[in-house]
Amino acid sequence: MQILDCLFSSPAWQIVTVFAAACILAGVVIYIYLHHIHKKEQRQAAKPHVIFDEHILDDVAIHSPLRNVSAWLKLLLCLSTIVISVMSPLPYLPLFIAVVMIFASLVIAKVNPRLYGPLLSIPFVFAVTGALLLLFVTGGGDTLADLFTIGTIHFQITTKSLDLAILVISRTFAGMCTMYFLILTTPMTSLFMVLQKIRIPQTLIDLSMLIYRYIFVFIAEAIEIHNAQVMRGGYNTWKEGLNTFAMLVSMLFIRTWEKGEDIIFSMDSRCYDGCMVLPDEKGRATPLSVISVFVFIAVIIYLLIWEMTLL
Amino acid sequence: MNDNVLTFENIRFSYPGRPASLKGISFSVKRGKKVAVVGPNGAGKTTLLLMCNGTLVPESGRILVNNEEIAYDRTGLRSVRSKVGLVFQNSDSQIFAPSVFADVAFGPANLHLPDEEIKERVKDALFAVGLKGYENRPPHHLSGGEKKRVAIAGILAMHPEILVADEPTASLDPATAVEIMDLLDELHENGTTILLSTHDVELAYRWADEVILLSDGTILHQGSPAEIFADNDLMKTARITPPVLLDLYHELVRKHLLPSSIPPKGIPEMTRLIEGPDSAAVTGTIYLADTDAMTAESLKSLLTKHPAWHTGAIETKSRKFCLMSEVMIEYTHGVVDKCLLSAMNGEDSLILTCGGMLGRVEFRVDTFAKESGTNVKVIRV
Repeated sequence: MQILDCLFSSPAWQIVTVFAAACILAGVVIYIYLHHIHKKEQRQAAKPHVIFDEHILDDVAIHSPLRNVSAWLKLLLCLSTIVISVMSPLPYLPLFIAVVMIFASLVIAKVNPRLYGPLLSIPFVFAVTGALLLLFVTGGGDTLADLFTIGTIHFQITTKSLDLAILVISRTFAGMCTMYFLILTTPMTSLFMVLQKIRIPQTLIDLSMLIYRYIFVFIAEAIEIHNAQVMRGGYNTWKEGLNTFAMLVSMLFIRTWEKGEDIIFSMDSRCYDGCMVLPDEKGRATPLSVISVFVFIAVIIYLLIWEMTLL
Repeated sequence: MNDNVLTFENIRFSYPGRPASLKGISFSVKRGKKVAVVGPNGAGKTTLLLMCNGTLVPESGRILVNNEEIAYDRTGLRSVRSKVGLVFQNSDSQIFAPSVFADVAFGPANLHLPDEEIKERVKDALFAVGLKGYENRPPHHLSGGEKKRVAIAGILAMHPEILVADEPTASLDPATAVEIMDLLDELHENGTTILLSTHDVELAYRWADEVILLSDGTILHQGSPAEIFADNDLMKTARITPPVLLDLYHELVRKHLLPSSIPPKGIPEMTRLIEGPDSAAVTGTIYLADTDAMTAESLKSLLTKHPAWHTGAIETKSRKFCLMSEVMIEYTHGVVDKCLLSAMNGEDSLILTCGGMLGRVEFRVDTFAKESGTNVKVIRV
């Protein structure tokens, strides 16, 4: 009872508790959803077993309605939002940012919620485990619940540790939602020019362009090898699976090597002389988009200052 | 001074630690020819093609490009590679840039051309292969045929004199393969010499001016397709099956069902042979329309005026034009052959195309008319 009294004594805490409950609920829903999908897959035993879909994030970014918006603008929005949400001392601002970014991703960028939900559940799991650890390990403030003691270590929840855990979850959430907004609206190809303009060494950009291109080639290759292995019962037992996976990895290494040699041939046949061309993509920044980005940044800076005065 | 663009003189080569792949290869390719290197798997086709632009260095012998021996130093190789463009069999190894634009621009940029010209060349090359508007697509979002087109565009942008393609139609579906071959024909029409390797005898028989038959690292024969594919002993030594059409022709001649004459190049010639020389009276006309000089309305009014015409479109651009003007086209592949067959049935047909293909269609129909003794006429509208 003491905990509940404490939790509901201030309005701020009420919001936080409601949010925590909502998160747990969301987690449960996602778990049930994934479990449901898993069961469905088990029922349809003939469904091909694929490691992962190689194109999904890239596909969404390329077909995004915001694709042609200037990459600078999107980068400015996302970087400043992430920095501000990390600076925030209280969880309200990050939660506000997370909500805005989810809204932006789902409504403005029209990302399919069926993709967005599972995507968000990945960082959510990490954030929650991290926060749980913080909850029990850090201390300070009043003790809310003393769970148990091992030797000299007390596993207890204190007001400070609860604050910290919730702050960490909210910041992670805001950061991830912002990152997803960027990833799901900006294809990698439009970022290379930005990288060059901000004076990242050319060698690194060339390398990242080649890496970006060949990630997809090798994922496709890995899926092919994996399918061939599954087809012949490669992963039947745990031990066999380990063996088969080792084969996949070594095969992939050899193929990488061969592909590397092919690229050298191919670059040489086109007179490679140290010149890589960057994708030529000019985004447009409409006055409306520029204004809305700056208004949003101004609002969150104002909220940040307001939060600082609350302390 | 002869007009050989590419000459191999007694070339020998072996990969380290393996038996010899090429055992004394000598041949030459004349300017403006369409040459196919035909041979079974492991005959050394790819090795041979990789030597054309100095990627592999022969152990002995000389390779001459434009009657100049390849110098295997930096500047020498650069000049050879800007003259000889090589399209690899696997497009994924050839396309390494993150977007179509970046990949096609790679060659011109490394020739240190000014920015404006690079953009111009990329635009032209993508237009030539029918991929206008694909500039910002990443390569993994393209189909196999589109990847092959991008690979060809990347070479075209360097304005090579010789286009060397390793198995250009391998792992493409038949319709896409025909489109790629149409594209190569078009490039040939614009003055590029083309050398390609293939084990598809049907393709080599129909397409090539000249065939080089390669087997086990040696050249068995170099000559016209009919001459090579008609020689059963050569076919047996090279482990190659003759083209179906030629096989059928020889079988029919053996049974005295057909007179022995020039082996037929395609279905129209074969049909003509079976018909015999007496039935030349009724022929239809082939009308030729330039889609560059047409609008959707003029095409529609032309077709409503002549509803009985068969229609065919050659070339990606013309096909797109028909799609845009919402006109259903009857033939999209092997158009000229189909129209010739219709003409022999006394029916008229309309071929929609543009640029250099106009002249090519006329040439093909004229040669057919001359060889077969029919009076098929081509009229531009």
